[in-house]
Amino acid sequence: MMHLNNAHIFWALMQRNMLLLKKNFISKLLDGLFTSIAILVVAGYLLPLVGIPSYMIGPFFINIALNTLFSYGFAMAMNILKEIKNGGRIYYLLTLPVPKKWVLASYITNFALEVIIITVPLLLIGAFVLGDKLQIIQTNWLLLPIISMATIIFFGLFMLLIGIHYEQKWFFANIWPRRLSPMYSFGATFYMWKSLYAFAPTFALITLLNPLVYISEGLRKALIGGDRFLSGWLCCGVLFVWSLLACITLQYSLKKRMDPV
Amino acid sequence: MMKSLRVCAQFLYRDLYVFSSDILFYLSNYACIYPLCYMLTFAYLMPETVMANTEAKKLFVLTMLSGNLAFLMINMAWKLVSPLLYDMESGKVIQFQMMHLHPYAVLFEHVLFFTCFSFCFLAPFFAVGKIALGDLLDISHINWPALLLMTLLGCLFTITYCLCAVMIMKSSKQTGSFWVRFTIPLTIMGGFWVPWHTVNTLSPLLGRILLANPFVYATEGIRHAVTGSDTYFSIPLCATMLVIISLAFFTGACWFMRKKLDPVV
Repeated sequence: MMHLNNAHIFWALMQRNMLLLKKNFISKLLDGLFTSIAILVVAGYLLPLVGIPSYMIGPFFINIALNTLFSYGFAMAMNILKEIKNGGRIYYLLTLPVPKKWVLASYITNFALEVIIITVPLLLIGAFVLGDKLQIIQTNWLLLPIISMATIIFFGLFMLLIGIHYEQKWFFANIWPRRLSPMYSFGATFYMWKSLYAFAPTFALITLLNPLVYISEGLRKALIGGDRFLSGWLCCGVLFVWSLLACITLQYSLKKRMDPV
Repeated sequence: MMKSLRVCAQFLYRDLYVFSSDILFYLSNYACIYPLCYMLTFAYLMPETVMANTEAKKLFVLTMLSGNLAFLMINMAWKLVSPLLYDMESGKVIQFQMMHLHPYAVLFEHVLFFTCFSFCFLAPFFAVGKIALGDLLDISHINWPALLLMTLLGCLFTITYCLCAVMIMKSSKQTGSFWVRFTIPLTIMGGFWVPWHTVNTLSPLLGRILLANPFVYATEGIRHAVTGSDTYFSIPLCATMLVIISLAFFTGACWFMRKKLDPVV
Protein backbone atom coordinates (compact mmCIF):
# COMPACT_ATOMS: atom_id res chain seq x y z
CA MET A 1 0.00 0.00 0.00
CA MET A 2 2.82 2.37 0.99
CA HIS A 3 4.68 1.60 -2.24
CA LEU A 4 1.55 2.29 -4.21
CA ASN A 5 1.21 5.65 -2.51
CA ASN A 6 4.86 6.45 -3.25
CA ALA A 7 4.41 5.47 -6.88
CA HIS A 8 1.34 7.68 -7.08
CA ILE A 9 3.24 10.73 -5.82
CA PHE A 10 6.16 9.89 -8.06
CA TRP A 11 3.84 9.73 -11.05
CA ALA A 12 2.37 13.12 -10.14
CA LEU A 13 5.89 14.56 -10.06
CA MET A 14 6.65 12.97 -13.41
CA GLN A 15 3.51 14.44 -14.92
CA ARG A 16 4.62 17.86 -13.78
CA ASN A 17 8.09 17.29 -15.25
CA MET A 18 6.65 16.14 -18.56
CA LEU A 19 4.44 19.19 -18.71
CA LEU A 20 7.49 21.37 -18.20
CA LEU A 21 9.44 19.44 -20.81
CA LYS A 22 6.60 19.81 -23.30
CA LYS A 23 6.62 23.55 -22.68
CA ASN A 24 10.39 23.88 -23.05
CA PHE A 25 10.90 21.26 -25.75
CA ILE A 26 11.91 23.63 -28.56
CA SER A 27 14.26 25.54 -26.32
CA LYS A 28 15.89 22.31 -25.08
CA LEU A 29 16.17 20.99 -28.62
CA LEU A 30 17.88 24.18 -29.75
CA ASP A 31 20.28 23.86 -26.82
CA GLY A 32 21.42 20.52 -28.16
CA LEU A 33 21.13 21.25 -31.86
CA PHE A 34 23.78 23.88 -32.56
CA THR A 35 26.65 22.17 -30.78
CA SER A 36 25.66 18.82 -32.31
CA ILE A 37 25.76 20.30 -35.82
CA ALA A 38 29.18 21.77 -35.13
CA ILE A 39 30.50 18.44 -33.81
CA LEU A 40 28.97 16.61 -36.77
CA VAL A 41 30.64 18.88 -39.33
CA VAL A 42 34.00 18.77 -37.59
CA ALA A 43 34.01 15.02 -36.81
CA GLY A 44 32.51 13.88 -40.09
CA TYR A 45 34.11 16.19 -42.63
CA LEU A 46 36.91 18.34 -41.24
CA LEU A 47 39.01 16.14 -38.97
CA PRO A 48 39.88 13.65 -41.73
CA LEU A 49 41.37 16.59 -43.64
CA VAL A 50 43.93 17.24 -40.89
CA GLY A 51 45.16 13.66 -40.76
CA ILE A 52 42.69 11.95 -38.43
CA PRO A 53 41.95 8.48 -39.88
CA SER A 54 38.44 7.95 -41.23
CA TYR A 55 37.76 5.07 -38.81
CA MET A 56 37.76 7.68 -36.00
CA ILE A 57 34.67 9.44 -37.41
CA GLY A 58 32.34 6.97 -35.68
CA PRO A 59 34.03 7.19 -32.27
CA PHE A 60 34.05 11.01 -32.46
CA PHE A 61 30.42 11.02 -33.52
CA ILE A 62 29.51 9.54 -30.12
CA ASN A 63 30.72 12.84 -28.62
CA ILE A 64 27.38 14.34 -29.69
CA ALA A 65 25.70 12.15 -27.08
CA LEU A 66 28.38 12.92 -24.50
CA ASN A 67 28.05 16.62 -25.16
CA THR A 68 24.28 16.49 -24.60
CA LEU A 69 24.78 14.49 -21.43
CA PHE A 70 27.24 17.02 -20.05
CA SER A 71 25.13 19.97 -21.14
CA TYR A 72 21.79 18.81 -19.65
CA GLY A 73 23.47 17.17 -16.68
CA PHE A 74 25.32 20.35 -15.81
CA ALA A 75 22.10 22.35 -16.12
CA MET A 76 20.45 19.93 -13.68
CA ALA A 77 23.37 20.20 -11.25
CA MET A 78 23.17 24.00 -11.41
CA ASN A 79 19.42 23.91 -10.78
CA ILE A 80 19.65 21.68 -7.76
CA LEU A 81 22.52 23.76 -6.41
CA LYS A 82 20.43 26.92 -6.72
CA GLU A 83 17.40 25.19 -5.23
CA ILE A 84 19.39 24.19 -2.18
CA LYS A 85 21.05 27.58 -1.85
CA ASN A 86 17.91 29.67 -2.32
CA GLY A 87 15.46 27.37 -0.55
CA GLY A 88 13.73 26.32 -3.77
CA ARG A 89 11.62 23.43 -4.98
CA ILE A 90 13.67 20.61 -3.47
CA TYR A 91 12.65 21.69 0.04
CA TYR A 92 9.02 21.38 -0.94
CA LEU A 93 9.62 17.99 -2.54
CA LEU A 94 11.37 16.70 0.56
CA THR A 95 8.30 17.50 2.63
CA LEU A 96 6.18 15.16 0.50
CA PRO A 97 5.19 11.90 2.20
CA VAL A 98 7.62 9.80 0.16
CA PRO A 99 11.15 8.58 0.99
CA LYS A 100 13.75 10.98 -0.40
CA LYS A 101 15.09 8.39 -2.84
CA TRP A 102 11.81 8.74 -4.73
CA VAL A 103 12.34 12.49 -4.94
CA LEU A 104 15.87 11.95 -6.26
CA ALA A 105 14.51 9.36 -8.68
CA SER A 106 12.09 11.95 -10.06
CA TYR A 107 15.02 14.26 -10.86
CA ILE A 108 16.91 11.46 -12.58
CA THR A 109 13.89 10.26 -14.53
CA ASN A 110 13.28 13.79 -15.70
CA PHE A 111 16.90 14.04 -16.81
CA ALA A 112 16.63 10.69 -18.60
CA LEU A 113 13.50 11.81 -20.43
CA GLU A 114 15.14 15.06 -21.53
CA VAL A 115 18.26 13.32 -22.78
CA ILE A 116 16.38 10.58 -24.63
CA ILE A 117 13.89 12.93 -26.29
CA ILE A 118 16.59 15.35 -27.42
CA THR A 119 19.56 13.08 -28.12
CA VAL A 120 17.91 10.25 -30.02
CA PRO A 121 16.67 12.46 -32.90
CA LEU A 122 20.01 14.27 -33.02
CA LEU A 123 21.93 10.99 -33.18
CA LEU A 124 19.59 9.53 -35.79
CA ILE A 125 19.82 12.62 -38.01
CA GLY A 126 23.59 12.68 -37.52
CA ALA A 127 23.92 9.02 -38.44
CA PHE A 128 21.72 9.54 -41.49
CA VAL A 129 23.80 12.53 -42.65
CA LEU A 130 27.12 10.78 -42.17
CA GLY A 131 25.92 7.46 -43.65
CA ASP A 132 28.81 5.19 -44.65
CA LYS A 133 31.35 7.55 -43.14
CA LEU A 134 30.48 6.13 -39.72
CA GLN A 135 31.92 2.75 -40.81
CA ILE A 136 29.50 0.78 -38.66
CA ILE A 137 30.60 -2.85 -38.42
CA GLN A 138 27.67 -4.30 -36.52
CA THR A 139 25.28 -2.46 -34.24
CA ASN A 140 24.35 -4.50 -31.19
CA TRP A 141 20.64 -3.70 -30.82
CA LEU A 142 20.40 -5.52 -27.50
CA LEU A 143 23.38 -3.79 -25.94
CA LEU A 144 22.58 -0.30 -27.29
CA PRO A 145 19.47 0.44 -25.17
CA ILE A 146 21.01 -1.19 -22.10
CA ILE A 147 24.27 0.75 -22.24
CA SER A 148 22.35 3.94 -23.08
CA MET A 149 20.15 3.53 -20.00
CA ALA A 150 23.15 2.67 -17.81
CA THR A 151 24.89 5.79 -19.14
CA ILE A 152 21.92 8.07 -18.52
CA ILE A 153 21.27 6.72 -15.04
CA PHE A 154 24.92 7.06 -14.05
CA PHE A 155 25.12 10.57 -15.49
CA GLY A 156 21.92 11.63 -13.77
CA LEU A 157 23.17 10.34 -10.43
CA PHE A 158 26.61 11.83 -10.91
CA MET A 159 25.38 15.30 -11.86
CA LEU A 160 22.86 15.29 -9.04
CA LEU A 161 25.63 14.27 -6.70
CA ILE A 162 27.96 17.09 -7.67
CA GLY A 163 25.09 19.59 -7.47
CA ILE A 164 24.26 18.48 -3.94
CA HIS A 165 27.70 17.65 -2.63
CA TYR A 166 29.66 20.81 -3.39
CA GLU A 167 29.24 24.30 -1.97
CA GLN A 168 28.08 26.91 -4.47
CA LYS A 169 31.30 28.95 -4.42
CA TRP A 170 33.52 25.92 -4.93
CA PHE A 171 31.17 24.53 -7.57
CA PHE A 172 31.19 27.65 -9.73
CA ALA A 173 34.92 28.14 -9.41
CA ASN A 174 36.24 24.62 -9.72
CA ILE A 175 33.77 22.07 -10.99
CA TRP A 176 34.85 22.34 -14.64
CA PRO A 177 38.60 22.70 -14.30
CA ARG A 178 39.00 20.22 -11.44
CA ARG A 179 36.33 17.60 -12.04
CA LEU A 180 34.48 17.69 -15.36
CA SER A 181 37.24 18.81 -17.69
CA PRO A 182 39.77 16.14 -16.60
CA MET A 183 36.96 13.58 -16.64
CA TYR A 184 36.07 14.56 -20.22
CA SER A 185 39.67 14.87 -21.42
CA PHE A 186 40.81 11.50 -20.05
CA GLY A 187 37.53 9.67 -20.65
CA ALA A 188 38.62 8.08 -23.95
CA THR A 189 36.47 10.64 -25.73
CA PHE A 190 39.13 11.73 -28.22
CA TYR A 191 40.87 8.38 -28.66
CA MET A 192 40.09 4.72 -28.13
CA TRP A 193 41.07 3.05 -24.90
CA LYS A 194 42.75 0.09 -26.58
CA SER A 195 44.96 2.41 -28.66
CA LEU A 196 45.90 4.21 -25.46
CA TYR A 197 46.69 0.91 -23.78
CA ALA A 198 48.98 -0.04 -26.65
CA PHE A 199 50.76 3.31 -26.39
CA ALA A 200 50.82 3.93 -22.60
CA PRO A 201 49.60 0.87 -20.67
CA THR A 202 50.06 2.26 -17.14
CA PHE A 203 48.25 5.49 -17.90
CA ALA A 204 45.51 3.56 -19.71
CA LEU A 205 44.99 1.38 -16.63
CA ILE A 206 44.75 4.49 -14.44
CA THR A 207 42.09 5.95 -16.73
CA LEU A 208 39.96 2.88 -16.06
CA LEU A 209 39.05 4.63 -12.81
CA ASN A 210 37.22 7.22 -14.91
CA PRO A 211 33.60 6.17 -15.52
CA LEU A 212 33.48 8.17 -18.74
CA VAL A 213 35.83 5.61 -20.31
CA TYR A 214 33.11 2.95 -19.96
CA ILE A 215 30.47 5.32 -21.30
CA SER A 216 32.47 6.27 -24.41
CA GLU A 217 33.69 2.76 -25.09
CA GLY A 218 30.37 1.09 -24.29
CA LEU A 219 28.39 3.38 -26.57
CA ARG A 220 30.95 2.90 -29.35
CA LYS A 221 30.90 -0.86 -28.95
CA ALA A 222 27.11 -0.96 -29.08
CA LEU A 223 26.72 1.43 -32.00
CA ILE A 224 29.75 0.65 -34.16
CA GLY A 225 30.83 -2.83 -33.06
CA GLY A 226 34.10 -4.53 -33.94
CA ASP A 227 37.03 -5.35 -31.68
CA ARG A 228 38.54 -1.88 -31.33
CA PHE A 229 36.61 -1.11 -28.14
CA LEU A 230 36.21 -2.48 -24.64
CA SER A 231 33.54 -5.13 -24.12
CA GLY A 232 30.09 -3.57 -23.99
CA TRP A 233 28.83 -5.85 -21.22
CA LEU A 234 31.88 -5.10 -19.11
CA CYS A 235 31.13 -1.39 -19.54
CA CYS A 236 27.51 -1.99 -18.46
CA GLY A 237 28.66 -3.87 -15.37
CA VAL A 238 31.18 -1.26 -14.32
CA LEU A 239 28.67 1.54 -14.91
CA PHE A 240 26.22 -0.33 -12.71
CA VAL A 241 28.82 -0.44 -9.91
CA TRP A 242 29.60 3.27 -10.39
CA SER A 243 25.89 4.08 -10.30
CA LEU A 244 25.51 2.15 -7.06
CA LEU A 245 28.42 4.06 -5.54
CA ALA A 246 27.00 7.36 -6.76
CA CYS A 247 23.61 6.43 -5.31
CA ILE A 248 25.02 5.70 -1.85
CA THR A 249 27.15 8.86 -1.87
CA LEU A 250 24.19 10.88 -3.09
CA GLN A 251 21.98 9.82 -0.20
CA TYR A 252 24.77 10.54 2.26
CA SER A 253 25.53 13.95 0.66
CA LEU A 254 21.89 14.98 0.67
CA LYS A 255 21.54 14.08 4.32
CA LYS A 256 24.70 16.02 5.15
CA ARG A 257 23.60 19.01 3.09
CA MET A 258 20.21 19.23 4.72
CA ASP A 259 21.55 18.71 8.20
CA PRO A 260 25.23 19.68 8.43
CA VAL A 261 25.30 18.69 12.12
CA MET B 1 38.30 64.45 -16.75
CA MET B 2 41.09 64.15 -14.19
CA LYS B 3 38.56 63.22 -11.53
CA SER B 4 37.12 60.47 -13.73
CA LEU B 5 40.59 59.10 -14.41
CA ARG B 6 41.33 59.11 -10.69
CA VAL B 7 38.08 57.27 -9.90
CA CYS B 8 38.81 54.81 -12.72
CA ALA B 9 42.27 54.18 -11.26
CA GLN B 10 40.71 53.59 -7.85
CA PHE B 11 38.29 51.05 -9.31
CA LEU B 12 41.19 49.33 -11.04
CA TYR B 13 42.98 49.18 -7.72
CA ARG B 14 39.84 47.80 -6.10
CA ASP B 15 39.54 45.06 -8.73
CA LEU B 16 43.18 44.19 -8.27
CA TYR B 17 42.64 43.93 -4.52
CA VAL B 18 39.51 41.78 -4.91
CA PHE B 19 41.02 39.43 -7.49
CA SER B 20 44.39 39.18 -5.75
CA SER B 21 42.80 36.89 -3.17
CA ASP B 22 41.90 34.47 -5.98
CA ILE B 23 45.23 34.55 -7.80
CA LEU B 24 46.19 31.07 -6.62
CA PHE B 25 42.88 29.71 -7.86
CA TYR B 26 43.30 31.29 -11.30
CA LEU B 27 46.93 30.21 -11.43
CA SER B 28 46.15 26.59 -10.64
CA ASN B 29 43.05 26.32 -12.84
CA TYR B 30 43.94 28.42 -15.89
CA ALA B 31 47.72 28.23 -15.97
CA CYS B 32 48.12 24.62 -14.83
CA ILE B 33 45.13 22.26 -14.76
CA TYR B 34 43.34 23.33 -17.94
CA PRO B 35 46.52 23.66 -20.06
CA LEU B 36 47.86 20.33 -18.82
CA CYS B 37 44.55 18.57 -19.48
CA TYR B 38 44.32 19.98 -22.99
CA MET B 39 47.96 19.39 -23.80
CA LEU B 40 48.01 15.81 -22.61
CA THR B 41 44.82 15.00 -24.46
CA PHE B 42 45.06 16.94 -27.69
CA ALA B 43 48.79 17.34 -28.13
CA TYR B 44 50.02 14.03 -26.77
CA LEU B 45 47.52 11.20 -26.35
CA MET B 46 45.27 11.94 -29.30
CA PRO B 47 47.96 12.38 -31.99
CA GLU B 48 50.12 9.56 -30.59
CA THR B 49 47.27 7.04 -30.49
CA VAL B 50 45.41 8.06 -33.61
CA MET B 51 47.86 9.51 -36.14
CA ALA B 52 50.68 7.74 -37.93
CA ASN B 53 52.35 10.44 -40.03
CA THR B 54 55.03 12.27 -37.97
CA GLU B 55 54.89 15.54 -39.93
CA ALA B 56 51.09 15.65 -39.78
CA LYS B 57 51.35 14.90 -36.07
CA LYS B 58 53.65 17.87 -35.44
CA LEU B 59 51.37 20.26 -37.29
CA PHE B 60 48.30 18.79 -35.59
CA VAL B 61 49.82 19.42 -32.14
CA LEU B 62 50.41 23.11 -32.91
CA THR B 63 46.99 23.46 -34.53
CA MET B 64 45.24 21.92 -31.57
CA LEU B 65 47.16 23.90 -28.97
CA SER B 66 46.30 27.15 -30.72
CA GLY B 67 42.63 26.17 -30.67
CA ASN B 68 42.93 25.20 -27.02
CA LEU B 69 44.42 28.56 -26.12
CA ALA B 70 41.50 30.32 -27.81
CA PHE B 71 39.06 28.11 -25.90
CA LEU B 72 40.83 28.89 -22.63
CA MET B 73 40.50 32.59 -23.42
CA ILE B 74 36.74 32.42 -23.76
CA ASN B 75 36.51 30.16 -20.74
CA MET B 76 38.44 32.53 -18.53
CA ALA B 77 36.70 35.58 -19.97
CA TRP B 78 33.34 34.11 -18.97
CA LYS B 79 34.63 33.24 -15.52
CA LEU B 80 35.68 36.87 -15.03
CA VAL B 81 32.76 38.63 -16.67
CA SER B 82 29.78 36.47 -15.62
CA PRO B 83 29.70 37.76 -12.00
CA LEU B 84 28.71 41.14 -13.50
CA LEU B 85 25.45 39.52 -14.58
CA TYR B 86 24.61 38.50 -11.03
CA ASP B 87 25.84 41.87 -9.83
CA MET B 88 23.53 43.72 -12.22
CA GLU B 89 20.60 41.51 -11.22
CA SER B 90 20.97 42.35 -7.57
CA GLY B 91 22.34 45.88 -8.09
CA LYS B 92 25.37 45.77 -5.85
CA VAL B 93 28.87 46.95 -6.72
CA ILE B 94 28.25 47.99 -10.31
CA GLN B 95 25.38 50.31 -9.30
CA PHE B 96 27.65 51.94 -6.77
CA GLN B 97 30.40 52.35 -9.36
CA MET B 98 28.00 53.93 -11.81
CA MET B 99 27.13 56.60 -9.29
CA HIS B 100 30.74 57.76 -9.33
CA LEU B 101 31.75 57.19 -12.92
CA HIS B 102 30.03 57.28 -16.29
CA PRO B 103 28.49 53.82 -16.98
CA TYR B 104 30.52 53.42 -20.18
CA ALA B 105 33.69 54.25 -18.29
CA VAL B 106 32.79 51.59 -15.71
CA LEU B 107 32.52 49.05 -18.51
CA PHE B 108 35.78 50.27 -20.02
CA GLU B 109 37.51 49.87 -16.67
CA HIS B 110 36.25 46.28 -16.43
CA VAL B 111 37.41 45.49 -19.96
CA LEU B 112 40.84 46.95 -19.24
CA PHE B 113 41.28 45.06 -15.98
CA PHE B 114 39.89 41.72 -17.15
CA THR B 115 41.93 41.80 -20.37
CA CYS B 116 45.18 42.41 -18.53
CA PHE B 117 44.29 39.91 -15.81
CA SER B 118 43.45 37.07 -18.18
CA PHE B 119 46.47 37.89 -20.37
CA CYS B 120 48.79 37.42 -17.38
CA PHE B 121 47.54 33.85 -16.87
CA LEU B 122 47.26 32.81 -20.50
CA ALA B 123 50.45 34.33 -21.90
CA PRO B 124 52.66 31.48 -20.59
CA PHE B 125 50.44 28.81 -22.24
CA PHE B 126 53.02 27.65 -24.78
CA ALA B 127 55.83 27.89 -22.24
CA VAL B 128 53.86 25.55 -19.97
CA GLY B 129 53.30 23.36 -23.04
CA LYS B 130 57.03 23.17 -23.71
CA ILE B 131 57.73 22.17 -20.12
CA ALA B 132 54.99 19.53 -20.19
CA LEU B 133 55.53 18.12 -23.66
CA GLY B 134 59.27 18.59 -24.16
CA ASP B 135 60.45 17.60 -27.64
CA LEU B 136 56.93 16.81 -28.79
CA LEU B 137 56.20 20.51 -29.01
CA ASP B 138 58.22 22.32 -31.62
CA ILE B 139 58.44 25.96 -30.57
CA SER B 140 61.31 26.87 -32.88
CA HIS B 141 59.01 28.77 -35.24
CA ILE B 142 57.15 30.74 -32.61
CA ASN B 143 57.21 34.48 -33.09
CA TRP B 144 56.91 35.42 -29.41
CA PRO B 145 56.04 39.14 -29.76
CA ALA B 146 53.34 38.23 -32.30
CA LEU B 147 52.04 35.43 -30.07
CA LEU B 148 51.85 37.76 -27.06
CA LEU B 149 50.07 40.37 -29.16
CA MET B 150 47.56 37.82 -30.42
CA THR B 151 47.01 36.50 -26.90
CA LEU B 152 46.37 40.03 -25.64
CA LEU B 153 43.98 40.85 -28.47
CA GLY B 154 42.30 37.46 -28.11
CA CYS B 155 41.73 38.22 -24.42
CA LEU B 156 40.37 41.65 -25.33
CA PHE B 157 37.99 40.15 -27.89
CA THR B 158 36.71 37.38 -25.59
CA ILE B 159 36.19 39.81 -22.70
CA THR B 160 34.19 42.25 -24.84
CA TYR B 161 32.24 39.34 -26.37
CA CYS B 162 31.26 38.05 -22.91
CA LEU B 163 30.52 41.56 -21.69
CA CYS B 164 28.18 42.16 -24.61
CA ALA B 165 26.48 38.81 -23.94
CA VAL B 166 26.07 39.66 -20.26
CA MET B 167 24.41 42.95 -21.18
CA ILE B 168 22.08 41.26 -23.66
CA MET B 169 20.98 38.49 -21.28
CA LYS B 170 17.84 39.20 -19.34
CA SER B 171 18.74 36.90 -16.46
CA SER B 172 21.39 34.47 -15.28
CA LYS B 173 19.09 31.60 -16.31
CA GLN B 174 20.11 32.21 -19.93
CA THR B 175 23.80 31.50 -19.37
CA GLY B 176 23.51 27.79 -20.24
CA SER B 177 21.81 28.52 -23.54
CA PHE B 178 24.36 31.23 -24.31
CA TRP B 179 27.12 28.62 -24.05
CA VAL B 180 25.53 25.75 -25.92
CA ARG B 181 23.79 27.79 -28.61
CA PHE B 182 26.44 30.39 -29.34
CA THR B 183 29.81 30.11 -27.68
CA ILE B 184 30.60 26.39 -28.08
CA PRO B 185 29.42 26.13 -31.73
CA LEU B 186 31.27 29.37 -32.57
CA THR B 187 34.41 28.08 -30.92
CA ILE B 188 34.24 24.64 -32.56
CA MET B 189 33.59 26.17 -35.98
CA GLY B 190 36.01 29.00 -35.28
CA GLY B 191 39.09 26.89 -35.69
CA PHE B 192 39.23 25.06 -32.39
CA TRP B 193 39.98 21.80 -34.20
CA VAL B 194 40.63 22.72 -37.79
CA PRO B 195 42.23 25.79 -39.39
CA TRP B 196 40.22 28.04 -41.67
CA HIS B 197 42.03 27.09 -44.90
CA THR B 198 41.09 23.43 -44.36
CA VAL B 199 37.43 24.37 -44.07
CA ASN B 200 37.78 26.55 -47.14
CA THR B 201 39.28 23.62 -49.08
CA LEU B 202 36.30 21.45 -48.19
CA SER B 203 33.68 24.07 -48.89
CA PRO B 204 34.51 27.59 -50.08
CA LEU B 205 30.97 28.64 -49.16
CA LEU B 206 31.37 27.46 -45.57
CA GLY B 207 34.80 29.09 -45.52
CA ARG B 208 33.29 32.42 -46.56
CA ILE B 209 30.52 32.11 -43.97
CA LEU B 210 33.09 31.39 -41.28
CA LEU B 211 34.84 34.67 -42.03
CA ALA B 212 31.98 36.23 -40.06
CA ASN B 213 32.97 34.14 -37.03
CA PRO B 214 35.26 36.30 -34.87
CA PHE B 215 36.89 33.26 -33.23
CA VAL B 216 38.49 32.44 -36.59
CA TYR B 217 40.71 35.54 -36.37
CA ALA B 218 41.81 34.65 -32.85
CA THR B 219 42.77 31.07 -33.72
CA GLU B 220 44.30 31.96 -37.10
CA GLY B 221 46.39 34.73 -35.59
CA ILE B 222 47.72 32.45 -32.87
CA ARG B 223 48.47 29.74 -35.43
CA HIS B 224 50.37 32.15 -37.64
CA ALA B 225 52.39 33.36 -34.66
CA VAL B 226 53.12 29.80 -33.55
CA THR B 227 53.99 28.19 -36.88
CA GLY B 228 55.15 31.17 -38.93
CA SER B 229 53.31 29.63 -41.85
CA ASP B 230 51.60 31.80 -44.44
CA THR B 231 48.75 29.32 -44.83
CA TYR B 232 47.08 31.11 -41.92
CA PHE B 233 45.77 34.69 -41.90
CA SER B 234 48.49 37.28 -41.40
CA ILE B 235 49.06 38.82 -37.97
CA PRO B 236 48.17 42.41 -39.06
CA LEU B 237 44.89 41.21 -40.57
CA CYS B 238 43.94 39.19 -37.47
CA ALA B 239 45.03 42.00 -35.13
CA THR B 240 43.01 44.59 -37.05
CA MET B 241 39.95 42.37 -37.20
CA LEU B 242 40.15 41.54 -33.49
CA VAL B 243 40.40 45.23 -32.57
CA ILE B 244 37.43 46.11 -34.81
CA ILE B 245 35.36 43.20 -33.45
CA SER B 246 36.26 44.11 -29.85
CA LEU B 247 35.20 47.70 -30.49
CA ALA B 248 31.93 46.48 -31.98
CA PHE B 249 31.23 44.23 -29.00
CA PHE B 250 32.14 47.00 -26.57
CA THR B 251 29.79 49.39 -28.34
CA GLY B 252 27.12 46.70 -28.24
CA ALA B 253 27.73 46.18 -24.53
CA CYS B 254 27.34 49.93 -23.88
CA TRP B 255 24.18 50.10 -25.93
CA PHE B 256 22.55 47.09 -24.26
CA MET B 257 23.61 48.28 -20.83
CA ARG B 258 21.88 51.60 -21.50
CA LYS B 259 18.74 49.69 -22.47
CA LYS B 260 19.04 47.60 -19.34
CA LEU B 261 19.42 50.60 -17.08
CA ASP B 262 16.61 52.54 -18.70
CA PRO B 263 14.19 50.33 -20.66
CA VAL B 264 12.40 53.42 -22.06
CA VAL B 265 15.46 54.44 -24.11
